[in-house]
Amino acid sequence: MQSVLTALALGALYGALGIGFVIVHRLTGMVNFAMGDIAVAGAFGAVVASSVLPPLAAIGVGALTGAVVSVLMYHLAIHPLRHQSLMVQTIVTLGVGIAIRSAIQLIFGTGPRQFEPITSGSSLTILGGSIPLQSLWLVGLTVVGYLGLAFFFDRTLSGKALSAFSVNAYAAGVVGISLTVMATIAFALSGAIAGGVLAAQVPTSFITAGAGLALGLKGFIAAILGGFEKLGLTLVGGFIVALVEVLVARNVSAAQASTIVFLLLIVLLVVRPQGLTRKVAADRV
Amino acid sequence: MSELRSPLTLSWRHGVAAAVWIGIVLLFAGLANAYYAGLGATVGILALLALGMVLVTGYAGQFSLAVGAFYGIGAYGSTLLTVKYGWYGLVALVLAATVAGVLGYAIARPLFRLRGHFLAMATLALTEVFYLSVNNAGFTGGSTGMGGIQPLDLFGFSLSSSASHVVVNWVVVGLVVWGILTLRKGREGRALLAIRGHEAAAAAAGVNIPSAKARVFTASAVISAVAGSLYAHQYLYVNPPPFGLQTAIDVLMIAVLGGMRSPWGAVIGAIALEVIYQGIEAILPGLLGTGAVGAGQQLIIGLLLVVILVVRPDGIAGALGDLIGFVRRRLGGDRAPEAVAPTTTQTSTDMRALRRQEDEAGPVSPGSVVLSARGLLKRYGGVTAVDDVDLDIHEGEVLAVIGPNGAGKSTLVNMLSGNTPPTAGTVTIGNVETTSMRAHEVARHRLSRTFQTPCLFEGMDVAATVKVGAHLRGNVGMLRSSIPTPAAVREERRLADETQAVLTRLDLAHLADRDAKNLSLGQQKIVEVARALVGQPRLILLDEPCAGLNKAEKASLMQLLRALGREGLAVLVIEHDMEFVMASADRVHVLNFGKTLRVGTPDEVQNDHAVIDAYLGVATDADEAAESVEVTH
Repeated sequence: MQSVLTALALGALYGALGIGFVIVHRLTGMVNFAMGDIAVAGAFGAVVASSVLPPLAAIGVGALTGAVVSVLMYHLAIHPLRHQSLMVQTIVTLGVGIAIRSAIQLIFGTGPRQFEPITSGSSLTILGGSIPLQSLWLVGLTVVGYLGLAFFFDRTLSGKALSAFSVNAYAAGVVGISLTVMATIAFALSGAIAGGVLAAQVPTSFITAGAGLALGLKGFIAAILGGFEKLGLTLVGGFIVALVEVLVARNVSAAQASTIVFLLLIVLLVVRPQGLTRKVAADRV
Repeated sequence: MSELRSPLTLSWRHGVAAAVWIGIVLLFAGLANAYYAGLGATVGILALLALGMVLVTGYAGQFSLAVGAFYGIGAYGSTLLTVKYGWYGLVALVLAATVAGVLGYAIARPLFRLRGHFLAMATLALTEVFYLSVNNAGFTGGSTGMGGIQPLDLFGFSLSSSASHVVVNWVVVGLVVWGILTLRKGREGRALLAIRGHEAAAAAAGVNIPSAKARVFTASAVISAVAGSLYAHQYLYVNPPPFGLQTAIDVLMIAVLGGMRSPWGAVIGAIALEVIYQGIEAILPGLLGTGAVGAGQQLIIGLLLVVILVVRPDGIAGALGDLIGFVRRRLGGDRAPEAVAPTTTQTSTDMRALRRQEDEAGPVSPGSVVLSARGLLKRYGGVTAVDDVDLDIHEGEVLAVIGPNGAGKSTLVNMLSGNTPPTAGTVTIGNVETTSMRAHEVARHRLSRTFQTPCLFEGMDVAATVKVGAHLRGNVGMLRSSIPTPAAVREERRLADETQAVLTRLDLAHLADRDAKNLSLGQQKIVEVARALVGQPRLILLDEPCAGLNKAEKASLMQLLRALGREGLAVLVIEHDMEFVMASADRVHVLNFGKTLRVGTPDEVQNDHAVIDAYLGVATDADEAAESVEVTH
């Protein structure tokens, strides 16, 4: 039970990162290799804000930071390359990721950072396992983010416009949907959810400048499990990744947990690139 | 690139180039002090890694970041074998490279089913898995690493000085550069560039794509592993960090800096990256303090990667290439030869008259069935694109497939050529059932095809593009394409001659060194026909060859089809231009809504009410319709 509860919080985090991947991929066809580092930038934004603001507001600042960094990346690095091949665009996100990671390291150093949880108090005990209150906030935040995005995409006009854009960018352009505006929204939303949720995790563990790569890879697995398409399944995928990681760490060795999760990524990509869905996302690129 | 076209030969020039290369290397090794010699040797190793990336990413167009893992296998393999088991260094190097090669080949097949970002992410995870594994494993010394490895012993001569590392590393670099340059001119190199350009077209030309990708990945794994072994014998100590993502990014940076399309890009990029690193190390401590060098260096590398891609996506090599081209044009005036089309003697473009003329040239006598399709069916979800179609193509006949837009013509051809698997039904070529074969396997049964929109390969001239079609006319593999044996050179000459013959026949010879993608649409279509013909097929499928052709070009294409028929080829042509269809075809197969509407001679079809209805979309009065025999598009 403890494993499940731990995986629940971790899974919400991976799922949120996965949703960040999915939104950008759905709307622009790209995979953002800087996703993890953008989330870390958000978390550090929250760390800075927490010195003057209450934790909940600091997490809001984290989401905002993630969104701003993400949008800046789109306009400075990706937008100028929109006529280049997807490979060039991918490489550029790798470059941005490195730049963000090392900039954070230059400013904050390599040491861990933390801030106070939203609600203090002892952990909640459920069926013999315990979960910190802050983790409940994290899970809640992810679910709220998911519901908000799902509502946005399926119910609102802008959301539907975004979906139309993802189906056929040319046709969307013909009916007056701006490519740049839509991509900006996509990058903003993806940076906000990833940055906000990672910021919410900082009080329970801590954040380091170099965390982005591993986080990004795990979020990517969640996105693969969601078929790079379905937000809900991506959350489920995040939970699965986290559960595997927690179980391996507990029963085999903590040092090997990441190795096994990354091996899982390779196997999953090769054997079942459509993840939990029926459609093959890998064919679309 | 004119080098694509020049036939593969071993000449005195290679000797001179090798002598110059070795001369420069020796000069540097002799003049540089130990510090710079050490740097030079390290740059050589990075250049080797980047060369591996040029093969996989630059040539074959597959974005892989697996370089760190194979580099590590070479370094750790050499160290483990020599230190723990006392092997002779060179033997250990060969074995480590073999292990990397075998492993590379084994994982390449499943891995390269992925494309684009997904391949990049999987290979990135692979490098990360290798890094974490050696970092956690006890027998590799964990995160502290392993020492005790001796300098490489080259038949009694110990390579312990930095100068000797420079010589060995850069001689190996020179060999690999030469191999990769040569590969580009050969059969396998062309196949790789074709895969990068357009996979379906490469497969239709008979290129076995999964195999070609796996082999080039293996070659790259071996090169990376050799680089790793050289690294281990140079530093005499291995620990995990150099074999993680950091190196993969450095190598990517080199490839981006230098340009990925040419092996020279790897060499230029490796040197440029080191210059940048040296510059950063000289300047940064003054700006940010010594503690910030590591992160600051990474920040600059990350930013540079972005800036270079935004400003100059083809890297330094691309910029140099432009510069050289500019200087050449300035010096020699505009020496680019004006492509002069041979003056066509043809005056008449009247299709009917031409057909009569063609028929007088010799009778077409349809022979045995070459391809036979039975009950072909293709469903896309709820849509049935092709519905239970039977079709026979005979030797020496021109069969036209016509039908309104969306009738399933292209889908039908894609199923015949193996580009699309049918939902049901069978396709037989000769006596062999090819239904479930993939495109490159079908091509082996001497079927070639063209595409509705021309599928040419980026950065290839017309001669090389057409020569890709002769892929199955040769059998020189990747190794012999890079290290040409006399037999390989002979084969390449034969392919060049066969290509030249087809180019001449189709009036393309004057365009041979033009970039195929820069031609007019009509010319691109004819280049595709040439690529299909050079494979010497017995069955050729043409998907709307007339789109973009002018009247005279259409007339000569029609004459070509008639001539091919007389030579015994089976020709299937999809076309909307009815004048062309009626003049060139022996039989016409009409499709409507995926079903066969009518099969018959041009005259029969032209007078068929159902066909007229399908085209005009209205049920006309029967008598009127019979009179309006001219079915226009």
